Amino acid sequence: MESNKLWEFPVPSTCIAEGGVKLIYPGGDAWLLFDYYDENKNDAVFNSGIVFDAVQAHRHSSEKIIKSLLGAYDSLVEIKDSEWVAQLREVNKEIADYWNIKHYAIFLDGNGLYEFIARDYKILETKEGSINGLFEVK
Amino acid sequence: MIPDIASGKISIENLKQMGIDAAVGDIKYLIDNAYIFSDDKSYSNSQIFELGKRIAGGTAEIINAGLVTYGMAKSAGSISKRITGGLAKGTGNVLDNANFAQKTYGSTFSKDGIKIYSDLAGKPINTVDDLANALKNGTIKPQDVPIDYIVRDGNTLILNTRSSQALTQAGIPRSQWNAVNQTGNQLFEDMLTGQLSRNGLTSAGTPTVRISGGNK
Repeated sequence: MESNKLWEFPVPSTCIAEGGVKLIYPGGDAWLLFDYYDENKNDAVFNSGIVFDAVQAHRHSSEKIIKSLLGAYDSLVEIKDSEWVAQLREVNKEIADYWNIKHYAIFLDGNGLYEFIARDYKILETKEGSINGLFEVK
Repeated sequence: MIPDIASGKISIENLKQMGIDAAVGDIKYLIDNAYIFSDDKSYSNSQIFELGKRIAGGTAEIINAGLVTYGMAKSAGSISKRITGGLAKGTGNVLDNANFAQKTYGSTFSKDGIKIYSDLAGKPINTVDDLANALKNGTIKPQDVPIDYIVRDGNTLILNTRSSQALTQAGIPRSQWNAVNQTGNQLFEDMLTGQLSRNGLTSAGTPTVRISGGNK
């Protein structure tokens, strides 16, 4: 399976900070948010994320039950000749064409493999500090 | 004999010589008693029996020497693992000289790790400290904490940094760790490649890891 690297996680994903990765999908767009610490900046914590545009399908797999990293270790990649895209296109070619769907994937150490069928993606601006507290479930 | 081997009183050279001496003694006995076969009327059943015992005894001594030698090699580290793992370092437990594939680690486990260890303990286990305490008080046993490792280029590399830190913190020697060899498992090999590469490490890894300030 061929993949095209689009973006690299700013630090090794072994440096993802407490709280791990947050996936928010209220419908429409999906937000993959993360805190990380930077070893080269005195372990200061930063937050950033990826927004996937017009998500038509998505899935998350624990790192213990995936068959392949899809070349996506610490990298956002686009899977070329994706079987998943082909299946969805077979189900509804009109919608698949309308959204111009693509298969995106990123593997983050200790967090697993995140995959999205979406039209596009955007990297959020990196900010200092943690977002973890915003999403704590009491 | 084995304690003497373990203490170094009997070396491998001594062992070889003992096997040779035993075999030579038996052969000498056979030669000295060769007359038995030169005259098929002059031997008795007890003499035949004694010869048979000597031949069997000599063979057994040689086999025994081989088994002891094998036992020594086995105790010095699993032969099969050393072969499949190439020139893995260490002469004791496979993880004795194992290194890490990342430079720092966060104190909090992954979400999956938290669930697994909390289920085992029957109470929340979120951090390395929590797991170390559970190991110390016996709530979680060392065998419940699998440590995946890969042997690459003769180096043994640990994949579960936080779990191994908890075991160390709990004072559990590496010889008691539940080591799981993932060498050759493509998924784990790819994860190791990613960890080493992103952390700027070679296949030698690093012998020490530092807890990060970012997860406190």
